[in-house]
Amino acid sequence: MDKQPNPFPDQQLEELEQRIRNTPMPRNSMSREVMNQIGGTNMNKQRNGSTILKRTITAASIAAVMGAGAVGSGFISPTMASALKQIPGIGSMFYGLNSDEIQKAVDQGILTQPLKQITKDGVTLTLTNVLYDGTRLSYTIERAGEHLPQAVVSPYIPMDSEIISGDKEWKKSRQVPEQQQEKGYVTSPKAFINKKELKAFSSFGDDIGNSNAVFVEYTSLGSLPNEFELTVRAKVTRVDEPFEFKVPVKISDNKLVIQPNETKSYENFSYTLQKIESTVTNTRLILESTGEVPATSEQTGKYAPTMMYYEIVDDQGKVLNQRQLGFFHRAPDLEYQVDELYDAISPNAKSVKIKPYTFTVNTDNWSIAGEKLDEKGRVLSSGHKTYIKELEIDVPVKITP
Amino acid sequence: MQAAIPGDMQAKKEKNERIERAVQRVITGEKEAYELIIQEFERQMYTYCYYILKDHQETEDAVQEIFIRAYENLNSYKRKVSFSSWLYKVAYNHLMNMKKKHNRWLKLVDEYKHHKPVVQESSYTTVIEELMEYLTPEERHILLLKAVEQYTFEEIAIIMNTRSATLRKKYERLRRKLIEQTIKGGQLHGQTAQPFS
Repeated sequence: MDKQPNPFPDQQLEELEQRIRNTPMPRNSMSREVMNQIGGTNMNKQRNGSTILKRTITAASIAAVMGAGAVGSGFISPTMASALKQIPGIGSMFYGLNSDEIQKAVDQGILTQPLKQITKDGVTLTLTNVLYDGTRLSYTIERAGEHLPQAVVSPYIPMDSEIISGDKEWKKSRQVPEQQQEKGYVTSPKAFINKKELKAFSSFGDDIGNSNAVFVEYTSLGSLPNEFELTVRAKVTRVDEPFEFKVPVKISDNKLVIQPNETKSYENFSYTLQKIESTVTNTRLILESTGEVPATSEQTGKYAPTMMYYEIVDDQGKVLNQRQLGFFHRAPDLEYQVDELYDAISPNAKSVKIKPYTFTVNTDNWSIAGEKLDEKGRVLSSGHKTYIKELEIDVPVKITP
Repeated sequence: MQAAIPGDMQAKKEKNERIERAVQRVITGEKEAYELIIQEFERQMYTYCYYILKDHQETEDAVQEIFIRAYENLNSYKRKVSFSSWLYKVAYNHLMNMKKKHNRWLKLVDEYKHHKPVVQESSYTTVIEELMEYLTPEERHILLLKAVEQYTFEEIAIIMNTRSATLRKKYERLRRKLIEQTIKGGQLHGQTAQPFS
């Protein structure tokens, strides 16, 4: 438009509003990430141990706090260690460990800085911050080059993808054939473990510590070996060849696996404790249960017990936080396969106790008795727990020094 | 550029009905239908949150938390208001409750990194952000809610829990401010919006 005073200021305001309305969203749809946070079946409320913020900052923040360069050769002071633990995400990973133990975790190869760089067609990608602790794998890809778009994450939607609803203009602007796409966006990379494609739940988005990078994290890995070759294949829009990085990943064989195969029963309920896996950063509980959950005298009428949950306490008195607690808006099933992650066991613990418990639910609205939320909706208390002592199991553990 | 035309009203009504149907599906247990709702609203929600928070990472987190919060409270949605304004009320409350970004984490990263990451704004958003600087936080919410979803003052009043008469007055004030600025500043760049800057 020409530079002349506009005689219709209202029109300018309308234009401003329209301009606001047309602001592009500088990333692809968040629907998958939200749906996975919601999880479960039948409208359950899942109280996740970490917020989205925590999930997206782990590796990048470690590198930011520890500094780039080869980690594991550096010394982590007690101040640094306590600073690390304050950071959400990392904090939960290193929870309960002192600085020596964090140093040990780092020495065990959990974080590697390959700093591998590949340049193609004027775009340079660098793979950094490869983090693997046995249960989670994540890495960062930095992008550099001239005349590249400001955002790093590709805003484009594949031509063959189907998006139901959403406004057509926006969709049209995102489904663009490659020839018409802007050059230089990083699309969702593929990872391979020993040349086999890794199919796990992954999240991909901007790196919070670095505006020129993307961060990728995989959870629900199944069982990966302690040593493998990681291949990351990233594609950049308008660059023909993919960028392929190969990084050796090795963590010490420090996973402790206990298979108690012990069964406990009470009334009509019984469960078999199959496996406990313990690493420096978390504990995994695997068990099977059958039968109806026992009810107390308070859990009658419109009140009922929920499914059985399992608390883990070590002999140092530490209650291991469960990473995710799922609630369901329906009566419990009669059979469960439980596979849950908790915080790490204290290093000098000699045994842990499994303490099954239920919450009490109001079947009118599926609210949990005793649940307390703060004004932001965050969980202060998950609810009143009813422990069933008859179902407790003590498990001796031995943590390798 | 375009005043509200009768066709717009019809389109808006149809969109609302489509959304209500999707909401009912979710409430009766079809969780996957919620994805439709997210895709329907996320771009505008992102826009709304971004011009308030002025940071993409915070905006991403906020938008996701808003959708999660809305899902968890879906049973409390009564059809007295449109689902859209109910959702934006969740958003407005969330934004009002967010603390400013002087949290421990950033301080820590700054300490150890010795330099702040440089955030470059795209030119598309800068013009809008510059003008928004002249508005109070409350006026920004009013302008944004009117702009992103073209709500009526009654709807905005529900979202911001205030009276629509008060809102009208505040909108008039912000309108005068903006017009003053655009006259002073020369002109508002009048080209039609490009999808990418």
